[in-house]
Amino acid sequence: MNKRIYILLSILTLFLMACEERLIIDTIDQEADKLFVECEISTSRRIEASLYTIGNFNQLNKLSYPQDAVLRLVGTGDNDYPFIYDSEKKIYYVDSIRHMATANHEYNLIAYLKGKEDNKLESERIQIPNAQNLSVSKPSHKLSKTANGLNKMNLSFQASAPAEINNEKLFYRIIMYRKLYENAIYTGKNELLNFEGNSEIPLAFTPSADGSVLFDPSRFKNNTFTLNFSTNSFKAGEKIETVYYALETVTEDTYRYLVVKEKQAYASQNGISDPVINYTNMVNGYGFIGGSSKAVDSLVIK
Amino acid sequence: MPIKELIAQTGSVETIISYKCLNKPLPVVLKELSIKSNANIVFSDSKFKSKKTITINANNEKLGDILKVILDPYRLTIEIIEGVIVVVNAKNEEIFKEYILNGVIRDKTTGELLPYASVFLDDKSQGIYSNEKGFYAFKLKRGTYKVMFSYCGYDLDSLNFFIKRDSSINISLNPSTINLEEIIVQEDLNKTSYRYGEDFYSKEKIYKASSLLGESDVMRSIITSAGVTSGADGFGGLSVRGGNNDQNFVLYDGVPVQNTGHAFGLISIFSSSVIKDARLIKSAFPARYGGRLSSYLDVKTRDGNNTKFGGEVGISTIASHVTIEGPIAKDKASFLFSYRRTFADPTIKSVSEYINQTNGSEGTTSYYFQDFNGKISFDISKKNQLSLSFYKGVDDFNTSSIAKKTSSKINYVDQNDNNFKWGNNLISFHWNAQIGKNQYSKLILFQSNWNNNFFKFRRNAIDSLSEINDIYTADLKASEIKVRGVKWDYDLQLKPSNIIRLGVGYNQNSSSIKYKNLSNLNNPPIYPEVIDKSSLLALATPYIYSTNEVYGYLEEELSSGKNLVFNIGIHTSIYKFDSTYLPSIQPRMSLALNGDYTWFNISGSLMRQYQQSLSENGLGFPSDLWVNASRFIKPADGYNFSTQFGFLMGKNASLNFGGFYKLMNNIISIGEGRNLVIEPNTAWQKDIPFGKGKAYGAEVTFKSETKLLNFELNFTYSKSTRQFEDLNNALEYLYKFDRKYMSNAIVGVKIGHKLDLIFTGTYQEGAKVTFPSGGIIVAKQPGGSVIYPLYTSKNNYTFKDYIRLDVAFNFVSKSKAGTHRVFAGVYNVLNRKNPIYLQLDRNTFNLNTYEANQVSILPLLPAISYSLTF
Repeated sequence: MNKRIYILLSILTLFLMACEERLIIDTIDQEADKLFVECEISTSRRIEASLYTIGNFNQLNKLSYPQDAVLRLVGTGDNDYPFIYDSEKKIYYVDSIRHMATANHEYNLIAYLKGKEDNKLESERIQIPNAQNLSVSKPSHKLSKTANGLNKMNLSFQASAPAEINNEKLFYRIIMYRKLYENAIYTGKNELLNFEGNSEIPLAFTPSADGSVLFDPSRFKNNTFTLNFSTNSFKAGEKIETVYYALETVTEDTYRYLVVKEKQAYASQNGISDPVINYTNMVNGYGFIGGSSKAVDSLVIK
Repeated sequence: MPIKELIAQTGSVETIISYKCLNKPLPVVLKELSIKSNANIVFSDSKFKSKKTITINANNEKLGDILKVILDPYRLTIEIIEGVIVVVNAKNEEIFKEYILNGVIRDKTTGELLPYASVFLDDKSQGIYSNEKGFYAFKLKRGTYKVMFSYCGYDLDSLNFFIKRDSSINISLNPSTINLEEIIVQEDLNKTSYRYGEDFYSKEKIYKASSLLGESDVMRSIITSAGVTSGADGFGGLSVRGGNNDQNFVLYDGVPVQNTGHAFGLISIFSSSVIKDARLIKSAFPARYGGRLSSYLDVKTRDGNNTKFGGEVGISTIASHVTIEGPIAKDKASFLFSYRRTFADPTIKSVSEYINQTNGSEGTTSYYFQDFNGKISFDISKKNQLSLSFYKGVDDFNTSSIAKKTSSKINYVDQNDNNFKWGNNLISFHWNAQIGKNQYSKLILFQSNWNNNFFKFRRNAIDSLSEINDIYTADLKASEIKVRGVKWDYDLQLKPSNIIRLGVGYNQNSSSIKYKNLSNLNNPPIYPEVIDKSSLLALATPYIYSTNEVYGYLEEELSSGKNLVFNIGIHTSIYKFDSTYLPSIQPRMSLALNGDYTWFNISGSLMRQYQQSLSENGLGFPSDLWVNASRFIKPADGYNFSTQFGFLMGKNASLNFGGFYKLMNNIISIGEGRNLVIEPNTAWQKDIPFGKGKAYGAEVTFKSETKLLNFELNFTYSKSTRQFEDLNNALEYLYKFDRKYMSNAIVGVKIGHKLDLIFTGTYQEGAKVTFPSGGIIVAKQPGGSVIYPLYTSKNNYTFKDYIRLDVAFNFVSKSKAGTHRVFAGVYNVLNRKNPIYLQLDRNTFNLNTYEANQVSILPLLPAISYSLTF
């Protein structure tokens, strides 16, 4: 019996040793030592950028957040805005006294490690979009139960937003909230409303962990869609008359990049899944530069 | 050359004579016949204005028969007046009236009906195909004809006859033996045996194609066809002209099959001992086919032998089979049963136990597949046939291992259990009826069940003085697809040149899907000892979904002999899910122009598909999930266009050029970063992205046939892309089955009458896979750093070219016991490591470094098989 198994194993080993081989893949290290940058330029925030080096599979211990890099933002008219490194937050920023982004302003980003100017990362040129507003109709609300049996208020709006201006596609990020009152007095606190999905084209909306929702209006007929939000809870006797939203009009680069980040965050929690393809608008490196403009408005609930 | 004659007998016309002439005028022939028969034939020269001449060779035929044959083209006939034969004008209605010639074509040895046999006049002025049940019908004017009957793998037969009334002639063809390949190839070359857009696989062709482990397999034959590819070594399913695997409609005796693979797809469920033939339709889709975008694979099983008992026993390197067949009532009813099973279970078990012991653990691996085919056929009358077909197959794969180790007074227990089980159950009832003389009806009722369940259990326990940690998880994915349907087809042969086909059908699709995950991390503790597949199956709440489809088609085929065939039709369907109805109208058209030496074809089709599959691993495994069109999943639409031009190169060779263009809308895929989690009462389909696909390419096929050498070479140059708004940043990417170039060569060398040596070679671009482009991003997160691989594009990496050469000997001999067939061959004789997938592994010696490993499954594999057909 043992002899038979030995012979059989020998034959099998002979066959199966051919089944796996180490492979040199020429793409595997081609991006090593390049830079990766994230920079979303908003009209309502200080300009900040995060910078990383790209490692390769065999240099995990050499990955770093470079502190001695040179980052320059080149604006309209070739105005040059250098970044400053914040060692505490490990980010680069442009002094807001010197420059705040404005709508329609154009930028591109250049980054390189000191002494390695010939290996610089450069972005495509982007334009900060004008802030847009939602056109809202048919607001409605109704009470329902949460999974814990509590009451919650569901709010539904039919809305539209321009999908394109001057041949530039427009995308949005929305945060919806309500002000919390006690005895009819504003407590100074706001409650972020939960996005409840869209039943027409669900994938046109990408909710983020921070409560914001990215969406592409062009995927809907006449750029008109339904927004569904809900409160966390809703006490007896509570009233809701107005809700507020912050709508950021974002460039396509920003939209695509942030959607990818959300997919990556989801994938990291879900074990084996299909790979998430990175988005980049950089040359000689990876990452993105995008723009956004924010508008804040309120909706009256009927 | 016998002349069969259908006219009445009168006076001196009964005289038996032999007469032959070459290009003689009619008056001369009449005079010579009068002299030869001593009969008094009276005619007037004024009736013979035509310059047509007569050529005839009659041996021992009645004078009256000969006269009818030679006078008919002149619209003349004879009357017997007081013993004298008088040549007179035939009445007009007699000349122009059309008569029906019909019948069925059978296998002479088994009585089995032969589908799609070619029936045509020797001058090729008219030609038709028998239908699925071997029935044919012609309308012919009064006259003499020579009709040819042809079927792949059978000797060509012909029949000369004179028709003057509706007649029925049943033909039995002799299976070809020695010159089989020659006949097949010549028919292929002359394009008499199959329709444009179809590839035909006879039983013999399947037997002689490349096989794995000695199991001859129709799917192995199909992937050598132009424009067809699969993943490496048959993994990953079938891609026809850049389409997805799920876009191929596989019919087994008319019943839809959801998965065709045993052994994770390495061997198909179609046991060659019961297969009659198979057809792959990859373009010019007739209106009678619907439900998929890329192809239809129509696999037929044989009827049992209705004249004598027989069977087949066989054994290959991996499995053995036994087939029995015979008459229940001679010439009227027959049965056929076949059983196949792998026999490697004890070996796999012994080897796995040994490997586990070597690794310091306990456990075994077991695997087997088996399938059972059956068919009962019953001719209830000459024009009505009933049959009942059934199939049951199962694959069962189990692994279990438990490793107990103790180190520094710490006890470790690692347990891994897997159980994968899947299979098809098919049953169908067929009623085929000839109605009148030129109509045919076919009714089928069927049920197709597809079951699969995958169970995994993992347990990692640590037991020490300071820590007791016991973590266990169990996963179950189970699904059952049930398709029940009825279909009625009706063929009406209006004229030899005009066939109307229409039909209606109804399908009910029911899905029951169970996903269950159990872990002591997120559930109340359950003792791991009681967690098994059956307990998870009981705990899981099924997601149940049902849809209905009603469809119909109308198809008209107009032809001018075999030179021109124009097929136009429309396939319509109404699909219902929940309370929503989705209608569809799908026009189809094809035109085939066939000269004696050249042919040209063109076709266009709109197709619709309501069921698509989602693959988590891209390998076409049985775990792929079929998804019905629903609120969030639109039906997929496909637009197929193709053309073909070819010509004969001498008597023994042909060259064919083809091109195709295909657009696919609303096809689905797994989302990036997503895995399938299906829960009842949730709209899990909303996360499934849908997009569009495009495929185009050119194909060249060269075939050559001599008595000693068969050679077939095909080459495909193609591109297949996909574009999804929610994948790959909305950018177009190459599909995993994109193959810029594919080529297959089959060389068959005949060594004597009993032995064939066959070489099968494949050279094609490697598969596309998604692989990190070399970087890892470290992103700062509130909880620390997170590592993301840097994927720059979907399917950005191309495996090295797939190259394989197989060599096989086929030996066939006959003895008193029956036909012996021995196959001996070597698969992948070059022992090339063709990759199936890539994986990143930590380097064994330096855990900080990674290395990419490509995994191939099938190295050089010798195989031998033997079968005896009796």
